[in-house]
Amino acid sequence: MAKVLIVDDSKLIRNIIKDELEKNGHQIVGEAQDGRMAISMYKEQTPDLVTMDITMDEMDGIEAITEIFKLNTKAKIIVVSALGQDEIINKAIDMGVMDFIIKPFEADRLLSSVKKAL
Amino acid sequence: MKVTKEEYDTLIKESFEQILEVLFSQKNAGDTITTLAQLPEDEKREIAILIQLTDGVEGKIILTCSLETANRITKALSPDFFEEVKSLDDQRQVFKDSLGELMNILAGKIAYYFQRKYGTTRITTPTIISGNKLKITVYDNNAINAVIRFNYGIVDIIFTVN
Repeated sequence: MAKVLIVDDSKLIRNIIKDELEKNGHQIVGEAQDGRMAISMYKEQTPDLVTMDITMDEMDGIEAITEIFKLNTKAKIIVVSALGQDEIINKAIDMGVMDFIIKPFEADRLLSSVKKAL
Repeated sequence: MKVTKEEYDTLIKESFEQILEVLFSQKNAGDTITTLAQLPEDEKREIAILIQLTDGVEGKIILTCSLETANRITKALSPDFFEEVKSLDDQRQVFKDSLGELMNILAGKIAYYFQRKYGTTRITTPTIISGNKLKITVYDNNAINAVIRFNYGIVDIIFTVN
């Protein structure tokens, strides 16, 4: 069981991720709707894993990932985004994220990615 | 940037097919989607969701639909949290979340499609527009549109390139 922080400006996606992960025994320790909130929650909750959207207001996912890695170089982050273009995926992987899931995604894709990351 | 109507219709139809199969858990979604030549005259445009594209492709994608279709889509995506939006003045968060995310995913697919030709495209967060007794019309000579009929109603997806 892992402590997970979900970051996405869409409550629909946060609910989808939350439902699947809770069904599989993980604990959701926080839900953030933008990058700034994600950083604040990361500091408070020190989750084992973060799922991170990219396109968000206030602070986007790429910037939030950068800041989280400054807090913890070993942070485990899975990107979950509609932006599935090669350059964006490669950039995120080069930054050190564990995986990049393109929306819309099947539950199995999410679960296997989380399992691999942990 | 050139894209033919046929190419754009195919892109939108295929994108919707995948979205319906995964996000709406709808099997054989392709069988339930029809591309229409144009928006039927009696079909209302009361809700518009806009996303801007920047960098690779510079333009906008605008999805318009009736309030009834918007409610049906939202109910299908978020049945546990659905509250019907009865008036166009009434902006409910779940409405914004569901329709906004649908557009986000669609915009991502359009950006992906054009990446090889035009490079990496960024997208903005969605803006939802509605009006009371308002008919939404998009005026743009560069606009191309795809009209899709599916289980939840009819949507018109307009693509304008700067």
